[in-house]
Amino acid sequence: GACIPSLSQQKTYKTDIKAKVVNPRPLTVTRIYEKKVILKNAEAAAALAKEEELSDKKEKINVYKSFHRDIAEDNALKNPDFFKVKEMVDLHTLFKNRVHFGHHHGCRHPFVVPFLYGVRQNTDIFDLDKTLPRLHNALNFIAHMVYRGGVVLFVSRNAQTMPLVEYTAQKCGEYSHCRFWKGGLLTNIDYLYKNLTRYPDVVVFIHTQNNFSHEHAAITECAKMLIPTVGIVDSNCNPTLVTYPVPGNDDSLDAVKLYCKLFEETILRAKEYRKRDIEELSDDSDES
Amino acid sequence: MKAFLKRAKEHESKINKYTEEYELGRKHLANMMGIHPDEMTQEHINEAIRYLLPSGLFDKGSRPQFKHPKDILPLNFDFPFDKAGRPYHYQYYTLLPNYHCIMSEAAWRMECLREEEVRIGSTGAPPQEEMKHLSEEYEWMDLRTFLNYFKSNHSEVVQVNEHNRFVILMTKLSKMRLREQDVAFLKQFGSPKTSEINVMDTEEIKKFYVNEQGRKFRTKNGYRKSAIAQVTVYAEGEGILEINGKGIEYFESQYAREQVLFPLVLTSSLNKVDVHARVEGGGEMGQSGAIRHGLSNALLPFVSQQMVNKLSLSGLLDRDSRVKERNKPGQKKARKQFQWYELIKACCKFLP
Repeated sequence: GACIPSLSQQKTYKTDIKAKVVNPRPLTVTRIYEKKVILKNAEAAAALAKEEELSDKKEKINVYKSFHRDIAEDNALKNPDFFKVKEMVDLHTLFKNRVHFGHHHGCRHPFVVPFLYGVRQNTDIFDLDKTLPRLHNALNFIAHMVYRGGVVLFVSRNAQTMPLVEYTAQKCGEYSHCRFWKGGLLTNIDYLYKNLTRYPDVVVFIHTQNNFSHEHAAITECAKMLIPTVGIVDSNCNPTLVTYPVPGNDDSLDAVKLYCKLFEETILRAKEYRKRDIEELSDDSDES
Repeated sequence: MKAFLKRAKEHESKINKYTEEYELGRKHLANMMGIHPDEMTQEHINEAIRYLLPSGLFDKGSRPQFKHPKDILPLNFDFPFDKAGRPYHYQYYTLLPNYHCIMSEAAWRMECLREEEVRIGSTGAPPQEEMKHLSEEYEWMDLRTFLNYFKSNHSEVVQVNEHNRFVILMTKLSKMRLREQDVAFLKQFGSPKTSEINVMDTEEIKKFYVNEQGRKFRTKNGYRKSAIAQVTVYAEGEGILEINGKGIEYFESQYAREQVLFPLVLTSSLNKVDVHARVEGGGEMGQSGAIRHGLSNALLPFVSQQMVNKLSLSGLLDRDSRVKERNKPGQKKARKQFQWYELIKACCKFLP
């Protein structure tokens, strides 16, 4: 039968890393969509109106001004599931493609414990009720980035699945790096490339570990350069530095095929929507 | 994108500046030489500079030159990415995109072929396309040609490790059952091994006779120690082996049987050729060696040139010149010597 990890097994793990904050700067965030507050008092409303007038004169930091935007009006942010990601994946498909299998319980990483349902015959089993929403979020995020013309980089260091991953990247029109990762590719980009290159906007890890079962060097580099990452985290992997971890199996072929299919679908769908929306807007602007 | 535009502008301004300088200098030179500037050619300029600025440097590229900038600098600065900054090649972020593209394509083809084989083996259905093994061994690109290929076409610096991996991958691919598209892919990087050393004359090798019944055959003599064998090889056969009226049971020891069969195994023609042999003289080993010698010489017209080179380099076509060593005086046998006191006795015989 299945044995569930008991509460006594939960420990607090001390990390030896002590982060030192040097020159802390305050973050300034501007809200783009402002709430409309209805006040009953006429005086308070008048006072607020004056403040708003004054604030309009100040220079607001519009985050989107400095960037070149192909699609000025964002309808995508209004709908929570604009790209219909929830129709792509089901709990049943995850189970059928063996996403719930992990490694031997001895290889378990302590930070993956909250994603596990239990242990059966010495193998860790993932809780698919927790992976499914995380997978949806990850796919949605990738779709949004591609909708705005972002660069996606697929990374994996598994020889068995390397051709598959590179083929999917080629099909989508995105990029892949399934070879030896030279240190400093992202942190020391000017030295390694002749021309000024663009950083990837999303990095997708289908295997977060390299050949020697250590953490892939790209995870820390992306974290340093503030590049968001999507990663499939197995029961022996470290999920801390991945921004959108998807706990699941990364060793069986069926699971990897499923992931590749899903990423491909989302990216192509997002590109379709982008094309469609750009054309619509250009037509409208020409007419007007 | 801004950087892209900046770089393009800088390049343009550079070229314009250099062209202006070139034109000015050209006019001055023409004035000096006394020729009209429209009639002055590049040869005149080269001569003049060799006279005015002589240099003894061996490298001609580092000597002073006077050329139009379009010959030296590229006109259009081709960036590997478009205006938005997105690279064109899908493996741009690996620092050697074209090399890794080739390797990943070969790996993908191997995967497809493996799946096909599995499908054929499990279901028993015929293959979707024609699939064949390669008839000959292929020879892959040299180290030098490999490095030049990437440097000249794509300006990528490749190392020796990459070349080794490339060779290993291509040999692996070439040993599978291939489709036409895979063969076309492989021919870009390799060609069938040609005989660099023509070891033997072609006319003598390819001589054979034809039987009354229309079968091709060739007879050759084989020699070893004091054994003589006459071997005839018939092409398009079933694998019949006859030695003095008997089969391979004529030889009792395993070693002798292997010696007779070895050339057939090498050329992979065990069931494709009939052999009839007549042997006289010598012992078991000598006779088997003689048959081997005759067989390998008689097989040559029915085998590819590559295999002929292999046979000659392996030494099967040479007559084994090892013969029993003669006895010497003052010794018992060829090498065996007398006991030391007997040596003295033997030597005393020759003394007066």
